[in-house]
Amino acid sequence: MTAQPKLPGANFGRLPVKLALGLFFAIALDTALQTIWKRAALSLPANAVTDPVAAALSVLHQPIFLLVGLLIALQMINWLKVLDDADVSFALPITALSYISVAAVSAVWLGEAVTPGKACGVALILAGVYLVSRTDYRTDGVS
Amino acid sequence: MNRTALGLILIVLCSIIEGFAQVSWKMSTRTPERHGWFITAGALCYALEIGLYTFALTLVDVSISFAMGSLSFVSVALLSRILLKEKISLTRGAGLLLILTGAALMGDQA
Repeated sequence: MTAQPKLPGANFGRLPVKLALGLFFAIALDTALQTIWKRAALSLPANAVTDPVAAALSVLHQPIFLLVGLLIALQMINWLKVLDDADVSFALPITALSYISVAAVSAVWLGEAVTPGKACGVALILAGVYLVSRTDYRTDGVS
Repeated sequence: MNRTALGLILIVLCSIIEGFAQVSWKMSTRTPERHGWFITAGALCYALEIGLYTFALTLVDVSISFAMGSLSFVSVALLSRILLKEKISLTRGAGLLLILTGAALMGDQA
């Protein structure tokens, strides 16, 4: 990829298919990982926090944690591929959309509440991530 | 301490550990003679974070814990400022403030 968009949202018409797929997978993997991780955590004994050793042992007997580990690995590999093709400042605000998809999937699949407060919180975080990532990628003056 | 408060503390802790992991990996690119050391330190931070986040998930909704994970943006910026002397521009500062406010709002919903 040669000409890279300066601002997220710009030049989507020229987005290479490989990059578009990578960004889609980043959001999908984030969403799957977080909601399945939550499902896995719910399978731990109730005293998991006070008895971490027992919790760690029960993790070994839960195949769902294997899936969590696999998703973490896939997510890292996919993210590195995305960064091969795009700036972090372009990719990050787009994948931050997974804050919305995780809330949606957790509401439907896990029955978590969607409240106006949560929606406002996610909106503020999205705006913040957008501002954070649109600043210069390097500030130490070294080229 | 109630379970929700403990979950929120664990999420904040995870975000701080994430900050150390990122700064550690950045340090590895700056100090070639200690490259392996910093990579290992970063990886250990991530391993610890995965464990603590799993506990946090037993206590708090994932829609809240995942969004509050954005606090790592704040910890990365602060730790890079302190340890790597990177600057925080006005725009980035404003963004971090929005993330902080959003995360606080999410915590309040827990």
